[in-house]
Amino acid sequence: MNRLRLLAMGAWGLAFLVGLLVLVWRTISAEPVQFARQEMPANHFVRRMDLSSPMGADLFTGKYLRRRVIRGETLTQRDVSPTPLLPTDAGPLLMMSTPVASVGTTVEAQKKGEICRDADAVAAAEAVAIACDPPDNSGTCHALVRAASAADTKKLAERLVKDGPTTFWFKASCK
Amino acid sequence: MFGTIFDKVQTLLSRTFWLGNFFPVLVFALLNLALAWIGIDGFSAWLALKWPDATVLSAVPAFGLIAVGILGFVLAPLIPVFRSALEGKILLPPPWREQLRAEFTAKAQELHASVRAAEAEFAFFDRLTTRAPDRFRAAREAQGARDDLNRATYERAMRAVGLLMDEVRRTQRTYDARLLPHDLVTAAVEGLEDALRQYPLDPGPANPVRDVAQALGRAQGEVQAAVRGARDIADRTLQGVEADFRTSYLPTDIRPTRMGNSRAAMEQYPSVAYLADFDFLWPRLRMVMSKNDTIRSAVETASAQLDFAVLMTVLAGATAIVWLVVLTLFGDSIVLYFAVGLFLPALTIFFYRLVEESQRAFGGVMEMAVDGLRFELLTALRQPLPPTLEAEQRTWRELQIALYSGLGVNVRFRHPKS
Repeated sequence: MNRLRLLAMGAWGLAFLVGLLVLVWRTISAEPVQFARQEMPANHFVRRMDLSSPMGADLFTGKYLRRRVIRGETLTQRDVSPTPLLPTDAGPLLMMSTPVASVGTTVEAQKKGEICRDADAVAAAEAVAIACDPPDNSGTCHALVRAASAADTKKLAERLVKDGPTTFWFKASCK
Repeated sequence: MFGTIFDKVQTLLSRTFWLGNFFPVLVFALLNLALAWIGIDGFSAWLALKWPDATVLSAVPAFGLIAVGILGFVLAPLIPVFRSALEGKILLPPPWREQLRAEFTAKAQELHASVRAAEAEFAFFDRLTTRAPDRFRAAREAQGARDDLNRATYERAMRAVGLLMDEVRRTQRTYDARLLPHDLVTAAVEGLEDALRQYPLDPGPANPVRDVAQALGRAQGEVQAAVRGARDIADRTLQGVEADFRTSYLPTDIRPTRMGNSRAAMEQYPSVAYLADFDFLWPRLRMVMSKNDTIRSAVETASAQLDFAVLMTVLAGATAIVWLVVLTLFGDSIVLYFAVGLFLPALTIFFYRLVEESQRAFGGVMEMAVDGLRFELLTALRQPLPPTLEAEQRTWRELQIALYSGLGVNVRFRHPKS
């Protein structure tokens, strides 16, 4: 093998190793970044399916968006919060089960829905925040909801205590 | 509808363009797209953001193919430039070029020495193939020594023949048959010659050495067959190394790369055979190529294959360099980085080898085209058809001087009768 061929291979090998070192350093020290796969409102409960890549998704899933994001927008750790960001004058709120399959679509933070007992609508309500455990489609999800007024919310709370919380569901529509 | 447009465009463009330009660009456009999709985080999301509309998205492949076609057209005139680079004519720093030339000069000398050695081997066995039977016949017919029936001569001969036949069985009945060592062959021939000189050719039934004479007769047949076999192997070896040398190097024009040397060797053919320079003959042959569909098709295919290999080599090399940098700065996949860093250089080397082989194949086709169409070209250039090769060489030489220097006093035209 001639010297120039060895030189060319050596130069490529060196460039390859330097590039590899830079890449490894970047990967270790880089702030984890994800891209939104869809438009999402503030306080959206982030799940794996909302993110562009499974790599590093654990740092985002199970957290809440601090702001509204559009499709394709870059997400960093600064854009998510471990708890939903609620206004200080939130008033009384209710926590109840919500269908896992609807979360992120028809059941979403800031979306209107109904509090259901079987197929009957008990009251209209708005989701303030959603939480799932674990943060994907394999477990259970709960919605933190607000009824039309503080008085309605209190009345519903009393019914929940009286009839048992498992009999009530928050859905986009009870039908 | 798109298929119809594609068919129309296909009829407008040559096979050389499709194979030699369009496909390499298409392959590397797809490869680069795949690398960007996998290697650049957010590229796919960015694309989806850019073209969220399904109608627009469905038109992207059509626009992509048009873009690939345009890029193929743009790159087509640059292929000779790329080829010059691969031949080491350009881009190579002069000291490197000289060093490479020195290395290839040494290799050419080594191969030339192999040709000389193969010639010597062939001459030895060819001579022996003719002379050994004569020597054996002369030994059998020799007078005066046949009363010496000492078996030592016979045994020595049979031992030498035995060693030779062992070597034949060991070396010549394999796929990569090797030549017999000269000393073994010489010893067997000389020993047998001595023994034949002492024993009768066709011993009668009462002859006490009948078995010896019969054994010597068999040995003679075996030795002659072994020598003939060795001559055939030497002939094949000689043809092989000669062809290798002829298609690899032009001793008076050693270039810095294997491809350059192969090209120089290819271009020497018309000047050796017909005293017409390649650069003079080849462009003019295109005038008459349409008269022979077989040759035209073979030339088009070989030319397209060469262009294809050249463009694939250049694009593979460029893709490797660009993506090594891009993935270093923007990538997040170490696996993809390894794939690009190791696979693409290997692919570049593979395509460079393909260029060399395509170059040789093109050389063969070029020889065929020159041999097959040169008289058509002479007719097209209004020249009389020469009666001998020497006259033809003179015609080409005079024509070339006339057209390149304007000194055309010796050139006479023969116009067809209308």
